[in-house]
Amino acid sequence: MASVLAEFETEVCLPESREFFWSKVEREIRRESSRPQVAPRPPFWAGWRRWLVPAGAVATVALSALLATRPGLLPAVQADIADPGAFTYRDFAARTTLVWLSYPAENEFADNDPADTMD
Amino acid sequence: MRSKLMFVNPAACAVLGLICLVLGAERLAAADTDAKLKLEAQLIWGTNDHQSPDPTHKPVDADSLKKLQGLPLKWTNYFVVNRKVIEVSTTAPLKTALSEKCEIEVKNLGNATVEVAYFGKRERVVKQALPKGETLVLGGNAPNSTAWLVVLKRLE
Repeated sequence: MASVLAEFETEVCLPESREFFWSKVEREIRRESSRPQVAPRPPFWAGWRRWLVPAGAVATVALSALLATRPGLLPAVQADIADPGAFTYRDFAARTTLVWLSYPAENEFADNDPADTMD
Repeated sequence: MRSKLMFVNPAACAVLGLICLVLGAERLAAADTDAKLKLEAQLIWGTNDHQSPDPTHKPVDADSLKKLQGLPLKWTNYFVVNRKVIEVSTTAPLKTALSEKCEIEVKNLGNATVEVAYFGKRERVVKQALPKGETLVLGGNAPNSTAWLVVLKRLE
């Protein structure tokens, strides 16, 4: 193995002078650096962006209009009460709406018999 | 094939997708509009007494109790006077009696919205969106510093 490597460590002889060889390298470097840089090719989706941005804006506006015009698609949490003596309370966590009719006690669902108050 | 695909306009695809989305939402809304609403209606008595004078009154279930305790009500104990499960279609309102002196009429207005008319000594009407899982509580003062409550919960 050592003998094989030794054979490849022989000095490389150029067919030209050292100065001429390095001047060629210098010229090549200068030529490469003076060549106009080619811009990297944009990704394939870059062309779509000019369409997707306005289309996305249109879609957002249309969706907003849809949600605004269809009250059933948005959870309406406010009770609509015509009664001025009532107030509402909303417990968002429990998803519960209380409508309190603040009138004096009416025995609306109770007879006066205390033993049968609720029926 | 590739050359044909190159002529597909992305904006046209987006608009087509949007139309599909809108139509799908419309169909969902229409389906919801036509559906029957299954509701649980409970007439509840709120009191600070530990026992109801009527032995047939049972304490409310844990879920309803938790909801009621989360409301700004001063009562600690709640008893179920009556409980009914009703189904309301959009075609006709449903009137049901929860006790001899308490009736409610529920209209299904579509889009998961109900109009509840409470008939006591006078009629009171409340309109409220009631999506699945929502609870509507109508309440008022009852004699001896107690309260009556009509709890309307959407089941389906």
